[in-house]
Amino acid sequence: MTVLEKKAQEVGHKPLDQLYEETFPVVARFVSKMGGSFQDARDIFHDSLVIFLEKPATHPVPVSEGAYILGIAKHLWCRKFTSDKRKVSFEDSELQLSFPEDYFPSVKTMHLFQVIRLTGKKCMEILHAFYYSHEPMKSLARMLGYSNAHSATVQKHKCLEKIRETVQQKSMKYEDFLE
Amino acid sequence: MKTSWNEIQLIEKYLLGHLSTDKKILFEQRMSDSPMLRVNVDVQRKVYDLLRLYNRWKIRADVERVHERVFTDPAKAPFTESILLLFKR
Repeated sequence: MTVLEKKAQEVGHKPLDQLYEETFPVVARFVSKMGGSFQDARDIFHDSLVIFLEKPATHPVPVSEGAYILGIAKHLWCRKFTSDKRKVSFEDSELQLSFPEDYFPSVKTMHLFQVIRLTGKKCMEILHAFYYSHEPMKSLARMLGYSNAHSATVQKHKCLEKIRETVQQKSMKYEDFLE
Repeated sequence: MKTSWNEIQLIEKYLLGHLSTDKKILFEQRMSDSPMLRVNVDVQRKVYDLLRLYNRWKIRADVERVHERVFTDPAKAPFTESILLLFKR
């Protein structure tokens, strides 16, 4: 099961393709109205959908799925193409929305991310499963291929140490990683 | 210097907001007295930041897969055409 499918299951979403098909036209119409291209619509829609999907199930969005995704798309449009928000018609409820502060990380953070993603893939997968899958320990251990919860926890500890060490080494090289 | 596992666990509880108020205050006092501990907290915070990026990266890959599936399925042609039509000028 992919992250997206799992998330959909967790928050009781519609089937994923259905969510995609229902919300893309709304964002595409907005981007078209603003004079953007299909590629702009696709990029902004995908970012909005990612921001919606990464919200923890414990923090449901304050409006409907479609309204949330369109609201975020409008904010992203303003960031990308115009700093003048008056050019975009925002509903009051949309003005309350915002995208995560770290959604556009610095070049240095992205560089560190790429290094870790490529050199620490196995550990990142294990840590991701621990912090994001919300599986009970037993099934988490099974999912990761460990015979019991203890072995999986030991591996998590080792991975946390490994990634910490990599971050520390790299941050000595690029001091402002820890900005 | 290698950080002990106990300290890593304590930093995790602090960063994830799992410490009681008393323990949090104590921990912050320790931090203000120890530059080394502050660095360790910063490093570990960065690990969780990177994990959040990793989660986002995986979700994005899933979204791209859905896009490809929808836009290459002949049965979805009316849908894709209706989208593309919005951008024909």
